[in-house]
Amino acid sequence: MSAEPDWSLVDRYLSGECTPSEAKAIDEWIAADSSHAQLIASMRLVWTEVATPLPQVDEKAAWLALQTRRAEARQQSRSTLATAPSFRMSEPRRAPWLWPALAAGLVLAAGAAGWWKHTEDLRLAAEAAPPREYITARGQRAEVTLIDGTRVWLSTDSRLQVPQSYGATTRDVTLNGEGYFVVQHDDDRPFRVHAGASVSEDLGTEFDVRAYPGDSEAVVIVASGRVALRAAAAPNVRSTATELGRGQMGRLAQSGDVRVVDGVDFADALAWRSGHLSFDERPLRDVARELERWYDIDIALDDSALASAPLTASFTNQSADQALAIIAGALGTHYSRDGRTVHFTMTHP
Amino acid sequence: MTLAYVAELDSGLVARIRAGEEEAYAQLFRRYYRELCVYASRIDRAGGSAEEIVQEVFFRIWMHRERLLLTESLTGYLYAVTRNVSLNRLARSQTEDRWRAEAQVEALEPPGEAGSADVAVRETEMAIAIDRAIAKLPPRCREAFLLRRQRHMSYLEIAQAMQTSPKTVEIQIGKALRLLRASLAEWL
Repeated sequence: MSAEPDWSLVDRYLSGECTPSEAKAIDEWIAADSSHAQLIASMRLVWTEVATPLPQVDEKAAWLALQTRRAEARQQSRSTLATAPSFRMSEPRRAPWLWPALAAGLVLAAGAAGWWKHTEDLRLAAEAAPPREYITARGQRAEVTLIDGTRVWLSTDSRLQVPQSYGATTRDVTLNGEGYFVVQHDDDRPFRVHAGASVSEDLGTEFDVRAYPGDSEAVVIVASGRVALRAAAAPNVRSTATELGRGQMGRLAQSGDVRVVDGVDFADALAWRSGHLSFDERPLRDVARELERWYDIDIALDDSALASAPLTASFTNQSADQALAIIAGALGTHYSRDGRTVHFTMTHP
Repeated sequence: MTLAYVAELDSGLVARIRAGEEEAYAQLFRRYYRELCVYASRIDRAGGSAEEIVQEVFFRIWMHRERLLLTESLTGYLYAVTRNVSLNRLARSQTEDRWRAEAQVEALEPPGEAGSADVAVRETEMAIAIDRAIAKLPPRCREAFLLRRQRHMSYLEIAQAMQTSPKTVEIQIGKALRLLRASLAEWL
């Protein structure tokens, strides 16, 4: 044999399948030159390695698992901080469920979509670390203190989402429903409420934001200081915003148009915070929606004239039946209740 | 890439990870995950938990990121942590004294013996290089070679499996070895 060995023979040699004459031939070849010995040694190494296949690795699944684990760890360390957000519930009338949801699964949902391609996706995945969620059921209200001392009163049937990145450089929260915000103002880290089609930015304030799913407009009422209200679709610059001052109410329609109402009796408008329900010439259809959230009931208004009937009333500690009876009395109608379902019917002569 | 350049890249990466930068951490993951899985699988050949081990490594790196040193070789460090986590796992499932002694190593301590990481890095890189070289073999040549080496089949058995003659199998396998030797020239 020359410098190039008989490779089939090398195979049989490494496999221990040589005939005695083959073994003798290869031993002689190895002895002929030190480089031959080296070649056989290194092929033996390859031989051993190949017998151990590389592990099957799923990088993407591993990364998602890791993201979830880190998010959980972050959540745990948050909840042990002295400055962790506190959470206090109002007396629940019913269904006492309320959960700062640790939606770790959200990382997966948000991260799975085309994540591996791009840096940008990575950044988004990080931002999509599960937000803290505060949820009130119907009939419940809650008070939340965020990590920066900002306080939020959540009205019934509402949800407030606070991202993990809250307070890092910005303070953006998302509201579904109604909430009252007393903001620790900070010029460097603007506080913004995203609700429906609206964004309200704190300019040193206490204000109420209301945008339930299905509402035709987002309503912002300023109790103190100033708020910059703009459409969510508009660029985030001062020129696109409408500034609201104390006692002003901004109504932002889906189209992005803002109407400003002056001289709002905000004590009345914000009565929900202290457990009052107050209506001033509001159609029964709106009132019914409010009562549904407040008392966790479902109200059917079969008659469209009745649904449009204006109502002025206020409730403080009434039970659902007391409130319904007052309304029925004021409008000259009857109501019947079957468990949680309420029917209003016109009184027929 | 020169070594100095790699070191510079690494120390930049370490600084960014220490600062909690998400993208830097993801870069680290992308660069090392597969490689460290190979290494972990070589330490615990029968265990099959290489991925778990390496995910644990990356989790610890993140949780203790402020302990990362800018001066240290990042590669060496990652290998050392992987080794420690692997050995700790083995110690839990095995009773041999030699593993027990190693199990005492706190998983984030720098490597005990200087140079041991270098050997590990080289062996792992070679395992990866061998894997790539095998992937580059002509299909039938590769098939014959893997049946021979991973299933320990004879020429006759392989010939039956591949519906060809034993002589062809012998030639294919000889060719496989020759090609492997050629593409692994820089390692061997």
